[in-house]
Amino acid sequence: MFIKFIKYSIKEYLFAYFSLIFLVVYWFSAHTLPYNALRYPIIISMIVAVLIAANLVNCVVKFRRELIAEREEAAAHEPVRKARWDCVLGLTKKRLGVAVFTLLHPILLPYVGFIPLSLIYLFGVSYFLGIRNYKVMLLYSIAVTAALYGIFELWLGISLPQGILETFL
Amino acid sequence: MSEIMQYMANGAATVFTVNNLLLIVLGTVIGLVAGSIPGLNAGNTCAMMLPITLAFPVSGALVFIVAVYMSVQYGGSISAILINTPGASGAMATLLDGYPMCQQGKPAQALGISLGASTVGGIIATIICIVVLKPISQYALQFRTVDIFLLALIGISVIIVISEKDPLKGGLAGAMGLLMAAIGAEPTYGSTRLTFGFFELYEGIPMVACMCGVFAFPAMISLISEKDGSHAGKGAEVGLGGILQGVRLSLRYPAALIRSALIGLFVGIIPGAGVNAAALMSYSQARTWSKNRDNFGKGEPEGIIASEAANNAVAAGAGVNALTIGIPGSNTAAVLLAALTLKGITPGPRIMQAYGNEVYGVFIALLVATVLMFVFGLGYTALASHIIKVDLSYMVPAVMLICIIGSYATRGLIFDSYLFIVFGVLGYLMVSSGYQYAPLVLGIVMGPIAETNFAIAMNLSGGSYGIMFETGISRVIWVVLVLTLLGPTLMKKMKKSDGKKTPET
Repeated sequence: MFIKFIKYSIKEYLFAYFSLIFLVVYWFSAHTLPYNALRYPIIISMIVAVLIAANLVNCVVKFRRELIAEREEAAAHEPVRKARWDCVLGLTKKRLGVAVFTLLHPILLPYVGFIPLSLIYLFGVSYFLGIRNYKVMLLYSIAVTAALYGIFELWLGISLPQGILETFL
Repeated sequence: MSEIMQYMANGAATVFTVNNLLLIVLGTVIGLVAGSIPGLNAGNTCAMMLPITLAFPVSGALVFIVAVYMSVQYGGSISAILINTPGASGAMATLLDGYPMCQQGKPAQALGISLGASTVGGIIATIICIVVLKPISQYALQFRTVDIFLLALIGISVIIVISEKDPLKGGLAGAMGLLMAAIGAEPTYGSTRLTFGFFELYEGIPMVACMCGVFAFPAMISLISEKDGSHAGKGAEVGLGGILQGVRLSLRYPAALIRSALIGLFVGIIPGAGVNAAALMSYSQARTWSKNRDNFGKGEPEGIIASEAANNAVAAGAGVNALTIGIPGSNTAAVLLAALTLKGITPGPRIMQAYGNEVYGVFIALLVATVLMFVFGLGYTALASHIIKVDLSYMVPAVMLICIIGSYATRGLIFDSYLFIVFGVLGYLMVSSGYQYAPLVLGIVMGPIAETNFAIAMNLSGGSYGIMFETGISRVIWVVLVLTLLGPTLMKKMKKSDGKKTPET
């Protein structure tokens, strides 16, 4: 039952847990500041705290309803819905893969540089998503990278990280 | 009246420059294309365009964003009509009659009706906005700092109540947005809060990284399906002749056009109601008043007119309260406010004094964008049946890359690209666990406005909270705030108790 509750609350109320952690960390970091600087955050934090509590109480209430519904389904010999305990949050392999690729891009950006990393990223992600037309993939990667380089570096004058190409550019 | 004419002339002068007209053209084309791609709506398209506005002057950035905003609304109807999938959320009601019309072999006519209604709805609403802008802003000048703080709370509370299935979840998201906005330097004393030693957070959360993360990341991740990247469905072919025929047909319903534009405008002005509510409300009204009400849902032109005229009118309405009072009516209007903030302009009642020409320029730009939307829409609609079949496997990485680099480009800090990922993951987790991100974004956008005005009010009153109840305006705002929060719950309870009593009686 406890595991079921955890799964249900992750699926439905993950943001409430995040808010709770954020609130604790916020106050751990800010409690030493003068009162005048904290007057506004105190009010907002109290509202956040009340709403976290309300969300978690709601979670318990809804969990109980789901449990009752599950027992009724079982008693009536209906197929029991498993989806209510599914806490994967819609994360499929492809979605997770793209998220990881996207996470790696800014981490590697200062070292590899915008141009090579973006070419690899665009080609890699489109390959990962199932495209196998290599000519189009290559053209697409070059076109998007060139367009972004043109807009940000040449038009806006923003210096993009050059990474391994620093000595050449 | 002469003052309004003066503002309009100055606003027109800021819009009718070669650069700004080109930006409106660019924004219109981007909006049409993005709107027609399922998954991209006005909010996330405008958020993605924020980094690009860095290159433009204030007027250029604003006209560009509003052109995108206006044309996305029509673009959304293209995929709704052709493949039964609304591009933007405002086109949800359009597909009820648009897709049946397409199935009856009249896709071009349906798209023409949509284009004609979008154009007329947008023009009517924008003209009304231009007329009422000055009186509203003059009234708004009477607001004191504490009233602006209270208005910010109303803005968030309305959004929580209206846009959420679960008000508790919406409330938490909105309050967390306000708390996250309190990261960084405190407005009056400069003490830093929750920066973890990162100087990058001293000025608070960077808007572009936050907007791109919360809007674009979850949208892109959600578009990825395990099977293949292309859209299901086959877009029908459309010809220019049929589109023009549809445009002419839409003009045969002047009453529906005007009524829908007024509904869209009114709903747009209400903070939080949003484009979807406007389109559905207008559709429902059209069905009530129509002679052909039995034909609704089976390919009735009036159904398309109602939805499209209203959703384009919302853009103008949302702009009025966002600019004059500083309360964004929708998440797209919040992006508009973020664009203003990026340019160093604080939205709110005093904006007309300092940037009156630019504000009028926004509405003149909306008019120009609406006309251009019609012109380019004619050409684009004929091509759109091919474009909406774009393989998402190409779109997803390109949009992600724009957001990573766009976040970096705002301040030249790689830290902002990390924040894009952080907010992206947060946005995805919120959406997956049934929390809408609109209240969070609005909280983050309105947080600094609320906190600064709160701090000034507290300094003026010597720390007494009584200042919040001193004047008539404050008391009225409190009443509205309480009614906003408790009204829907009380109404639900009353309906429930009525339902219980009815069988007994």
